[in-house]
Amino acid sequence: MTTRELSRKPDAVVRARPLRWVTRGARSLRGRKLFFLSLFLVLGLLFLAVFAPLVVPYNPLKTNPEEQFLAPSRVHWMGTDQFGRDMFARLVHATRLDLMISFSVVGLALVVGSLLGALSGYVGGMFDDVLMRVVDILQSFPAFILAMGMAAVLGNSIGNVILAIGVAYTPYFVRLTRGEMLKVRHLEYADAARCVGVSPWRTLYYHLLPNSITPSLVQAALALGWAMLDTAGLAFLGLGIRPPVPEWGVMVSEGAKNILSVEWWTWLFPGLAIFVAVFGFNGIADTLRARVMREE
Amino acid sequence: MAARAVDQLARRVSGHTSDADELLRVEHLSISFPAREGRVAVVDDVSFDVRREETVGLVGESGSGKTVTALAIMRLSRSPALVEKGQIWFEGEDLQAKTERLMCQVRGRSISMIPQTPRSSLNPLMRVGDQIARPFQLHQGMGRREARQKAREMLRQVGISEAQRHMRSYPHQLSGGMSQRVLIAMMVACEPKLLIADEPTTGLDVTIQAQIFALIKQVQQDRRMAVLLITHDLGVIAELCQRMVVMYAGHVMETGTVGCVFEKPGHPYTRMLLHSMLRIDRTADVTPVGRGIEDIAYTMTSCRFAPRCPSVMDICWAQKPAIVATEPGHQVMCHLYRQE
Repeated sequence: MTTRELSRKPDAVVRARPLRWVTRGARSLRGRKLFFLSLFLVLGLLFLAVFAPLVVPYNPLKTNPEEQFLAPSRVHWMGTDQFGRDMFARLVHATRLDLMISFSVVGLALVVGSLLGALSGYVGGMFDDVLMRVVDILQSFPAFILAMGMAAVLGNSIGNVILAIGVAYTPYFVRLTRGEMLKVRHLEYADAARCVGVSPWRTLYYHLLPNSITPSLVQAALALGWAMLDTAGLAFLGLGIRPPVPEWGVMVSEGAKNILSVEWWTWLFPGLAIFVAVFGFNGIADTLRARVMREE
Repeated sequence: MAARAVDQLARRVSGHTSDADELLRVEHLSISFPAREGRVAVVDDVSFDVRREETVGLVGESGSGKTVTALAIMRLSRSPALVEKGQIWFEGEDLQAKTERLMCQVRGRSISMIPQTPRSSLNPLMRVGDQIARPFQLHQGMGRREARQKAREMLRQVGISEAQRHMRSYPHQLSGGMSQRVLIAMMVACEPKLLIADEPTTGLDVTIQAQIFALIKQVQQDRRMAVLLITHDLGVIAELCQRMVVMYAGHVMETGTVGCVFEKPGHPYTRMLLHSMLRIDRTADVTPVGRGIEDIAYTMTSCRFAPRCPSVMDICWAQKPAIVATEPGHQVMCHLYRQE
């Protein structure tokens, strides 16, 4: 029949389909320079992270007292720091760590947050009330302050950084998914599924969760950038990841001591790396959000 | 046989009579919703039954409690609706007493319900084929591949051409009529004994409506199902049903075989409905039913139709009429038939 025509017609009740932009979006993304620039930057970083040891011949931890504060040159592309370590090697290895942390943080927050949020919206009642109050409390602190506090209490390790920032981000996903769940919970297809004998839990998991996760996925893309910034921020403040581990925040922190002297490369390059990462993820998130909002 | 006789005897002793023909019996069902003050019985003391392989029409205007009753039978009513009292017997078992897990086995396997809004009753993120395959997987323990095969077979049976292609379609690619066909396929997949069709053609155009009713009739005959058809359309009832139940503001006003009720409508409300219908065999004027059910009706403990009744009497405001059999198999709840 006239399926093509009908598929174009907006239907107020049919919910957004989260992954449709993958199949159909390529067309509409054409001409979006920001998106492709962002994608390029992020893919570049991912490439560096995956192939870090192959890209740079230097050990990021190896000090060399004879090569302190060398300016960028053909040998050391980004110069060396106060211990004579190759900045480029450190930067590339830091990419690996920062991306790993960022993805873990968002993965944790997304999975835990949207499961809790979905459950909360679906079950309602006491569970919903209690969880929402907990979320209120968590959200009454700025995420970064909360993460700082937790990182300080938990102690310095990569796992603890992930946990601290992850927990600080979870409330956003709880709220988003819960809100969507409240919208879709009583849509007819949930009832129809129940009518053929699908149990309440399966209905929640197979029918409602996939239909209420879209905003969280957009939020996740945005959160990837924030998580980078917060990880670096914590490290800069001396919480979580400590020197000599190659990490952008650590590097900026070390380089910042030279901000008034001539060794500009010690702080500029790690700072640029953070900028590029956050810019990249934000650019992607922005495009996704515009796309999803247009569908709604 | 002996066991069955004992069973029946036991039920008779417990005040519940049943014959082998009976499939569903709703007894004294009351469902309330919260109102400004206290709760209001939107379904009040509703009783009716459906026999095997029979089509029963449930008719009444919007707000008379038809859908609420249907959801209660499926045990899918949710807050703020509350089933206050009453039993729902299905094949001699009390559905109210079943655990949720057991109800999940009843739904889809023994009782299914076609929803009002076909276009939004399919999960937009799931392929049509997978949605039809689901009941097979749930109730008949089939593997994915086998269930898909059966689903394709079902699609063909409900008259969807290119079943193979539409197995992989998403709901937004289907028209309203096709969606309803898909839902019918989904609902009758496991050959339930009772199919509740809740205004299955709202939002479909007239030609498609006729097709959908023809399809329901066909699957009913193929599978020897009973159908409880909820509708506003008396023409459809005359066409498809053997018996009908007329509801108004949560009360059952009249029940009887379609022939009896159309021939000799007992209740003033039924007469009103029948007069509002265009009929090809009558030249009499059509009288519109007029305004809808008043809010006040739901709080009344006497006859709820009194405010609109053309033959209202003093007693109608005072007490609830008894149910009177005007002829065998034809019952009316109205003071006009008061037995002195």
